[in-house]
Amino acid sequence: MLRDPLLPLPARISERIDETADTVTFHFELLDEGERKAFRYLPGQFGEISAFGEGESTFVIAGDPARPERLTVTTKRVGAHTEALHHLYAGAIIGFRGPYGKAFPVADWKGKDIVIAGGGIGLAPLKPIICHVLNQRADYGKLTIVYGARSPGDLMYAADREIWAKAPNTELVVTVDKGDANWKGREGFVPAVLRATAPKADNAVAITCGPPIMIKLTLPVFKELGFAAESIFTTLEMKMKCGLGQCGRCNIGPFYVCKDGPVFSVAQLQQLPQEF
Amino acid sequence: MADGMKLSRESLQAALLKRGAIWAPNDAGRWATVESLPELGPIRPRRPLKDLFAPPRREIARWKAGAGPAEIEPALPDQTPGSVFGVRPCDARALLLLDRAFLQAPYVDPHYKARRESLLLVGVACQPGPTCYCGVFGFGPDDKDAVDVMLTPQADGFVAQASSARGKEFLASVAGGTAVPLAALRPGPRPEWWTGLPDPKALYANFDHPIWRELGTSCMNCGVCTQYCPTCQCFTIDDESFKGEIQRLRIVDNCQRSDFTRMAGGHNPRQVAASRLRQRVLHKFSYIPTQNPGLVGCTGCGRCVDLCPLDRHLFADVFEIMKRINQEAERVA
Repeated sequence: MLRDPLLPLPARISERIDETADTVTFHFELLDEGERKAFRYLPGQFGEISAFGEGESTFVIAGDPARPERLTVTTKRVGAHTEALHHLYAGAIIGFRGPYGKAFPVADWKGKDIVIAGGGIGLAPLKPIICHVLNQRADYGKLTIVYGARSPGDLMYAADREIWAKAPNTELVVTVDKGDANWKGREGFVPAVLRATAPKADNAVAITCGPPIMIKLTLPVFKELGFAAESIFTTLEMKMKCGLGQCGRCNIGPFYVCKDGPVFSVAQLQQLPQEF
Repeated sequence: MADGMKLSRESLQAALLKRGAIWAPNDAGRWATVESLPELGPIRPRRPLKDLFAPPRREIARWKAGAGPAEIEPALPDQTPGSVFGVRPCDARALLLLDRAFLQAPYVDPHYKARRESLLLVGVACQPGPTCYCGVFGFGPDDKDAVDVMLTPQADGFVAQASSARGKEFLASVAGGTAVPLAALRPGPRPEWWTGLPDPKALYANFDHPIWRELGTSCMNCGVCTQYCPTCQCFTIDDESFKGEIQRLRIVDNCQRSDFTRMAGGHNPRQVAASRLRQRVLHKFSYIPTQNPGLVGCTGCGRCVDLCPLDRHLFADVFEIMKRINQEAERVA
């Protein structure tokens, strides 16, 4: 019989990482062996996570796409559902549906330099791109990562950043809006730090994700650096429920963000109504 | 002149009962199973036909809180064969729009599909009322394109015409029918001031027009128009627990509520009432026609016009928008 696409698959949390005071990363595995082995996803795709009894919400899959059996989401506590998720530890059962949405066109980017500008939890959708580029290192040119957060305590993915900092042909620039007594790194907002880092736009693509204000101020910097609208990508944040193009919530212009996005180039975004 | 088949009410009812349960509008205008064919009003009932296919509240799954969600019991689609009596063309045409959402691979809704497959749609031609506008969309009160059988009421029964293979098969099962000539299809009503459907691209090009704000200030965003609209499909997903049992539900939602697009953390791209009214008009009259040439997200049932607590008139609004846009285009030219 036809399976209801709204039915979540049970999954077990294998690891919980408290990234910051309000942000938790969960690694989890689908319980059903067949489903687990068949599961694949691409950078930028998302899923629906259930804290059972509290409903569902949408998260980008923030893992290494080359290890699809180990699913990852990074969640910030902002409402009732994420509050419920944050009460869960390794061994707990959650629900998962996915993957949904259009991915970053990483195959089209082969041979190019990759420039990533992320802010706060906006690093989550960018992490699978970084993993993919590092997995297929010879296929891509220089990887530049500019990552910022409000304070040193708001920086996430510490273990991953250690790996990225040592990766070949990779420049990782970490910044905070305001440091503390122990902070020896850079201070400054992502757009300004990106401008100072000045990655080459020639034969390169740019990908950005972060708080709306950061994206708004980062896009002009990419333009200044010489990136064309077709070479700048972002993932659109829009409330979603089903992920299937049915619930109507993420409709914007003639598109559904869940089906036609969430990944869009800036050239595509310029065709959309300026609602966001 | 096409051929119809003259049927008595009794023989039709007997054949429908043989097929299974009969759904029809009850006295409150809701869709319910009936023992005998009810007398129908002149036009569509209060509730849209979508209630039977994409109901306002449907279970996705349930589980016992103690046993844990690893043992999820999925809700089973209702495949009971039967029929729907008294389907009106505006409601039937709306299903063609819902089909796009719920029958499109790879994400087919098994509950919707089961009902679409198991229920024979038996239409009954209307006597259009003052808020019926099917003519705006180019079909009429006896349109049979989206039903299996269309019945035209007579003093002593119906004249039936099949419009699908399964409709033909059903009519062949009705005892005592006689072939009679059938009058041509009737044109549907539309407001006399209506000058035609808006150009989807022109509407979209005026996304920032001040008229949206003007219209928005006289809408209280109650969303009754969406709840009664036969084509509105939006839903939310939520869990409800009661006495140790948790239900995962798909529940009707509406784009006029301020938190429809309010994201966790508070960001809301459609915070202003006018932006939500604009979304509703553009979705039906611009986005759907742009993506699906030939389809419009409205079938002219007029329920929103009847039920609006502030007496808003969707077609008057759309007409006003287009009039303003056209006048301004002329001034520029």
